[in-house]
Order: sequence, then C-alpha cells, then structure tokens
Amino acid sequence: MPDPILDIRDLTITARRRLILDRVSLQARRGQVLGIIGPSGVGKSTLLRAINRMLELQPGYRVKGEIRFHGHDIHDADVDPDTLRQRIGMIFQQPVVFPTTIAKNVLFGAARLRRLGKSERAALLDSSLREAALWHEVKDRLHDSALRLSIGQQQRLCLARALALDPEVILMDEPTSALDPKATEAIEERILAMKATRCVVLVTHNLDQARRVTDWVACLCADNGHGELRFSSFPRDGRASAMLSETSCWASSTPSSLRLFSSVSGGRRRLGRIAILSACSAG
Amino acid sequence: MKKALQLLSALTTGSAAAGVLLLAGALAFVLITRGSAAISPAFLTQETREAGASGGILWQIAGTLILVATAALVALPFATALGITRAWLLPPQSRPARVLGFILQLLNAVPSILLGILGLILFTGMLGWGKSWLAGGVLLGIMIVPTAAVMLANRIESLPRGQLDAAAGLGLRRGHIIRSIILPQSAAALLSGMLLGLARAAGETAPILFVAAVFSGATIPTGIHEQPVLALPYHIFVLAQDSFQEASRTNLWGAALVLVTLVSLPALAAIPMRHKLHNAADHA
Repeated sequence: MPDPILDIRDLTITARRRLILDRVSLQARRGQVLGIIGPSGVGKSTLLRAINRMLELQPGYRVKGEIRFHGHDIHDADVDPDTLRQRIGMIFQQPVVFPTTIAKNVLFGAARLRRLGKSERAALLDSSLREAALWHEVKDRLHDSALRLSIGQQQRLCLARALALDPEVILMDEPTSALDPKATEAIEERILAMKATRCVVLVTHNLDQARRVTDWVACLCADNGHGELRFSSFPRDGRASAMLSETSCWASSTPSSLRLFSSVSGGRRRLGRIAILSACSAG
Repeated sequence: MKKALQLLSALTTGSAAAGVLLLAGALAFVLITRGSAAISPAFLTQETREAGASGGILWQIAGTLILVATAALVALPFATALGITRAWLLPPQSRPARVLGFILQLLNAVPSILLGILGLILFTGMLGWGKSWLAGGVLLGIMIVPTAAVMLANRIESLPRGQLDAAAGLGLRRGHIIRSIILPQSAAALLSGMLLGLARAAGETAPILFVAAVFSGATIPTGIHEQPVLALPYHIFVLAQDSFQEASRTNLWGAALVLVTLVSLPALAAIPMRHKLHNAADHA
C-alpha cells in the first residue's frame, strides 16, 4: 500500500474546553475514497474542517494531535494555511456559488492565486469543468450568471472551482444532502472518477452512499457525549456491513447528545434526526 | 383585543410617518419660501459683498465642497479599515471586536464642538497650520468615520457566511477575500454610511469654527499653512448672529437652501446606485 497522503494521529478537538472529538486516528491514500459516517453532531464536519485548517477560522476550537499531509504535520510553523487549503480542497453541504459568471466562478481561486494567461484560463476552464462533468451543460453560457444553474449544477460548479486549483485531496462535507437523486448520482460518479488522481474524504449521512463510493469507511460515534472512532473497515465487507447497519451507534446519539452538539455546530442541521432515522432504515 | 393592537400599531406607525413627513415638508416650505428669493445665477457665481447683504456665495459653496471632499477622502480608508477589522478580521463577538465597536460608538458621541477644540490644539497650535482647510476636512472626516464604519460592519456581519467559507476553502488570502467578496458585496452599505455622514458633516459649524473657516477673504486654498476657506454653515451662522438687514436675512435662507440641496443631491443620486449594488449582492 502506498504511503498515506493524510495520516491523522490521535486527533483531539475541543470547543471552549468541551471535548468534541477524542483521539481519532485515520489514514487516507491516493486513489482512495475515505468515508466518514456517523450520526449528526458527532463531529464529522469538525474533523473535516480540521484537515484543511478551516477550523481555526472559527473562534474557540482547539486541536491536539497530528494531521500529517505527505508526512508533515499541517500544524508546523512553516505550513501556510492558505497554501494548504489550495492543496486540500473543500466542498460544502450547500453549494456556494459567487454572484458572478460561471467562468469567473470556476477561476475564482485560480485566477487570484496564480498568474494565468488568456489561453491558460481557457484551458483551465475547460479541464476543470470537464472533470466536474459540467462542461457540456454550460459550455455555451460560460459568461452567464452562475446563480441561474440548478442546485445540482451549482454543486458541480463548486467542484470545478476546487479542481481548478488541482488539489491532491478533496474534502466533501455531505455534498449531496441538498441534492435530488439525479444530481446525487452525478456527484457520486464524479467522486469515483476523481479518485484515480486524487484522494477524496467524504463525510456522509447516507450508508448506501458510503457503500457505493467509499473504499474505506470510518464510523464516528458519540457514546460518551463526544465523538470517537468506533471502527474503520472496507465498506462492502460483510462484517462492516453488519456493523454499519448496527443501530447502537446511531441510537447512542440520543436527543440529549444531539442537543449537546447542536450548540457547537450552531444548530445548523435541523434534519439531523431524520437523517439518522433514514440511515437506520437504510441499514 | 388583537384588532385593537393592530389598530394601535397602525396609528403609531402612521402618525410617526406623518410627523416625519410634516417636519420635512415644513422645513422645505420655510427654506423655499424664505430662501428662493435669494437664488439666482448671480447668487451662485459671485462672491459675497457688503458682509452678506449682497453678492453671492460662490466661495462658500467652493469651500464647503473642498471641506466635504477632504473629509470623504480622509474618512473612506479609515472607515473601510475599521469596519472590516471590527466585523471580520477580529473574531466575531470577541473582546477586541466589542472594544472596537464601543470605541466607534464613543467616537460617534463626541460633541462636534469638542472636536473643534481638539483640532484647534492639535492642528492650529501644535502642528502650526493656523486656520487651514485641511484641519477642517480632517475633523469632519473623523466625524464621518464611525457612521460609515458601523454601517459597513453591520453589512459585513450579515453577508452569507458560506461565501466567506468557500473563499477561504479555496486558499484565498485575507486580502483576496476582502477585495473579491467583502468589499464588492458591502460597498453599498459603505456608500450609504459615507453619504449619511457627509450630509451631516457638510452642515457642521462647530468643527470648522476655530480651525478652518473664515467669514470673508478666502477663495481657493493654495497650501496648508494659514489657508482657510469660506463655508456655507459658517456663513449662515455668522449672518444669523450678526445681521439685522433684511437683505442679509434673505441671503441667509438662500445659503441654507443651497446647503440643503447640495447635501441631498448626492444622497438622492445614490439611491438607484445603492439599489443596484444591493440587488447584485443579495441575489445570491
């Protein structure tokens, strides 16, 4: 097995002295989709945001332990968080397009971070949109407002925008939870296509999605009021399937612990419990 | 009960609106009836004669424009920097952010006459500028900063968090995010704040009383040291205080009418622009 691109060791995250994640260790390799599943509020998004140091933009969070990216701890003094975020791209739950044209959205990061000539811009626009499987839908209206795209197209536009920076790792925070089944399928197809050249870390609520697209899945549970790694395994392995379907992990996320975490995640996910129920039934 | 409450709130809102309209209307009526007699092309293009009893207010208009333009140039960078610092660079709700917010409130509460005296000590005295347009412009600029900064900060705080996150997620640096997300989407609020502040500053007498304005004998300044200007509010102030001639009284109202028009024109012009900017920014 190749050396892991991401090697997370004993990662502990606290928010205002409250424990969110306790000693999580995980590895992610090139050519691999790492799935992170677990009930709402267990700290999956927090974990994801720690990997590209987005977490430090929010006050109150403290991170202990190591996150090694190509063997170097990303918290070392010589690591520039902005440069790190160019190499570790991120896709959010809700697609966020900027109020400008499709072309400018795709090049939003790249055109500001690199000096691009006219032909380079065109080439980058082409390759990024193709890799996000959006090229054929938008190639004739690159200079139209991106806000007119459907929400599924907007999410792929966000993907193209991240891909324009040619990141080695793509973090995806429940990228399909706002999308309809068809748009979800398009994103899942992209995830499978991207892993040839990149490493994908996918946070998802959806066990079926985890089975469909991940190569390795880590399950976070909140047994003691904070997130811990319950197990990690191949998602299609019989034992893993049984464990994934096992309800104790989901059930342990009682409403009280949900409430506990909703204060941290800003109560952002009112659908959390519904999602857990569907996850249980999906198993 | 519910109906009575609705009626009461409708009445309160209605009477408040009527009150404001009445006040504005009355003010406009007084200004126009008393001042319009003075208005003529000559009034706008000639210099003052006979201590305000005849001639025009050309240099007062010029002086006010110079003061206001200077104030805008001084205030814009500071208001922008302070607004962004308070709403975005400092962690939201953190102690430094709250302290900065408090300082802005405090600055807003400083009586303008106090600013005038402060300017007298600092610019006229310590820096040795004497009476200078620059001192007046800087003091008026200081008056505008809190209004514009607070309006900008409030707008930045209401920007969709997702866009800032998405931009940070692309590895864009702070400077990039300020230029590409924050400023384009909050420029309208900054503009509103600047215009509100400028409108108030243009009519202020106290800050320019000691440091920048004279009643006569100044035109366009050519330097900083001992280069005062004439100004509309100061002109009105002196005429109101010292003049007993009917002609000066009419010219006083004429100057007031010009000042109010001067102040409201940019505000009116800005309405469609603000509308457009907000529409573009809020469309997301």
